[in-house]
Amino acid sequence: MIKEKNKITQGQLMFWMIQIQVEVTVLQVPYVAHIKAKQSAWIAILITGVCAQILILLIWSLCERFPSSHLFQFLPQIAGNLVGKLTGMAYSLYFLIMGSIVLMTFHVVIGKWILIKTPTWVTSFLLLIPAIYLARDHLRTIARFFVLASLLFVFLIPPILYAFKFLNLSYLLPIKTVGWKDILTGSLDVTFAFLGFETLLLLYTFVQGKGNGKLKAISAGNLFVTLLYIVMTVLALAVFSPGQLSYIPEPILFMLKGFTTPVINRLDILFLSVWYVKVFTTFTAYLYCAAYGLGHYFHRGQHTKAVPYAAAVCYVLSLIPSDPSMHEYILTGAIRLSFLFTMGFPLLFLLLSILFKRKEASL
Amino acid sequence: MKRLFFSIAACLLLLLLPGCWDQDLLKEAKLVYGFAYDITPDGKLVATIAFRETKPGQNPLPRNEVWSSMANTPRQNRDHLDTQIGGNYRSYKQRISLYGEELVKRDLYPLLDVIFRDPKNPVDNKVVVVKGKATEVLRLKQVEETMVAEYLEKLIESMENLTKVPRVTPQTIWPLILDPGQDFALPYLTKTDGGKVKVLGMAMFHERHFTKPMIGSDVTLYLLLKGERGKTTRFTEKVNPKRNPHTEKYISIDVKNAKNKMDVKVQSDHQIDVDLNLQLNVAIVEYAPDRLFSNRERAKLEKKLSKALTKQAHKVVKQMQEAGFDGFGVGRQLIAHHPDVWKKVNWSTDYRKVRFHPSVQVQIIGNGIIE
Repeated sequence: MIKEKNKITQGQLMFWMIQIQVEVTVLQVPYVAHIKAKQSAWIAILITGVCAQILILLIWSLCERFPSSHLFQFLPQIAGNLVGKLTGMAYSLYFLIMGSIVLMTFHVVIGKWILIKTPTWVTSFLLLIPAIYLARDHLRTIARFFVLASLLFVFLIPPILYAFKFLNLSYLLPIKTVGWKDILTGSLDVTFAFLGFETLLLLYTFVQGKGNGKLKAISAGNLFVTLLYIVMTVLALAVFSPGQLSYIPEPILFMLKGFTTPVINRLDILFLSVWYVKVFTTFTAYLYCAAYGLGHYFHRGQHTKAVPYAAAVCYVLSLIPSDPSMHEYILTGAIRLSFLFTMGFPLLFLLLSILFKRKEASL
Repeated sequence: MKRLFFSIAACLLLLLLPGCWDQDLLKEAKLVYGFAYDITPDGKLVATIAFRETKPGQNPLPRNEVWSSMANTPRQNRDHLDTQIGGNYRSYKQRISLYGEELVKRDLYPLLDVIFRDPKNPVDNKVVVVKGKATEVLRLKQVEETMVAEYLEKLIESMENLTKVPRVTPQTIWPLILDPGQDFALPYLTKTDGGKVKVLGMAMFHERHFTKPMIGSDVTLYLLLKGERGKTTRFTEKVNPKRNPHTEKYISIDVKNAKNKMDVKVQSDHQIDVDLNLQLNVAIVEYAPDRLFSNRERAKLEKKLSKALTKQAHKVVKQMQEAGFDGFGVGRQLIAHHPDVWKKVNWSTDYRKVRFHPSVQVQIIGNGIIE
């Protein structure tokens, strides 16, 4: 049985989703979608959101068959001990990789925008320390912090809405400038920004209440994130002319840089400090999931012991790429990898469990 | 064990957190308030900067220091200046950038690259084209009691408020430079012989280079037609050419409300027609000759004003087409609503063939506290 202090509510699950999805690439989403999908970038994002929802349904129906055990417990039940354990390990590794990519993208952006001369190992380290501190705690504590951190959206959204003063809606037209193939490529490229829902595999059993409620909570999170991205993208498309947007990898920041309010001259710097918390929560969530898996296999379920070395692995991995093209390459690789873990494995295991009627004894 | 770990971590943090890498002390910075660029006959750039220097003493008096250098690119110029000025060149406080006429006749865009590429550069300052040498203007150092960069900023700002120059910053012109269907204009000023600065109007750009200036109240009308209005918009028009004395020939109006509408129509033979409609609700602020209580007199005046302004609007449009300056974004409308047509046109030449149909309707809604 799961200890009471590890249980979280459905509301907390929703905020968990929002925090883990809105993450390091949030600033780049409009640009990444625009490269291929041009003026149809927001359609591409909508498509990705819908796909994410389908995958959430998939993962949910898998978890629904094993309501009282988590990922690392039910995998052996479906596929046998050895295969189950290996896939479980693979999942831990996957969470580690995702965590390190978050770190990596974080110091790429920070190193470009404010801490230009500070070495990357320092900027990542500053994110790492609080993450280790938080990830060692119980799930409930982490979820509570995520709810608290979501209050920061209050500071995140108004500066973006200030852009309404500078809109030129004709930049949005014609709506469809490229073929469906390019739109789909665009939606593939933004996948990374939507990832995080796969942590439901682990979290599902920790959430109080019935299955339907959990699905609703996690879908609400996904909906919020999709809408946020669409709003950001539409704004970026309407503020920057089509030719210009292909020069600006972080359009949201660039937009804020140009706004001058009577009190604050450089909104982008203020925005970055709020964004830092978003990155921090995402990283912590991945770190927690990875450490939970490692703890399950090596420390008899004590994830606390796994946190420091999981963090160390993330940290070292994040420092490896040295140039931007390699970073790009890794990001693409991560998207491919994520298909295996968000779609491939869940689908496979769902089919297996249906086929062999592997299911938890009804309570 | 735990205690040891934490003390080591704490020591490490103390070492790391001061963050010495990116510190940038204000006392070592030379805050540049404005810069000017000119071109030499052989294509090199002359950069001039005005930065603030405070004379130490009982009452520290700030003043503008002006320095120049010559190099191939803006960034190189900056590096040259950095080696001269005894302090770090810092542009955080930059308020104005001036570009010499000859320079921007070639290409403006390469000069802006450094502004956009460096995250520390502000992108919300004023950008201005100078008739003659831009350097000359900064060399004034001081206009009356005000330092030149601050003076220029205030001057441009008040002109913007009077709807006499377009309100632009690097941030707002950048989308227009990179969009083939729109052009932008910058304020246009010159140094007078008396050591002052005079704003003439605006410099019209075609794509990336300056083509022709537009002078005086034409600019105001252009801005109204485009739907941009400062705090005050005033016209003085000749309505009674036969009257004497001279003052009585004229009327001054304040625009209280303006509604503009642009319609781009593509005819079957790909001829492009643009309807420009402008409705102005105005208040009379000066009109010496007649008393205004009769409705007939008002209607007559409205008609005269509408006619005069419509005529001026034709003149404005003609100047724009001659300059190849698509300031209304007709091309943008084509891209957005008629993408097929856009693919077929060669906008640099076809823009001049567009038929504009401007019309201005004036309605008098006020006349001050006397009739």
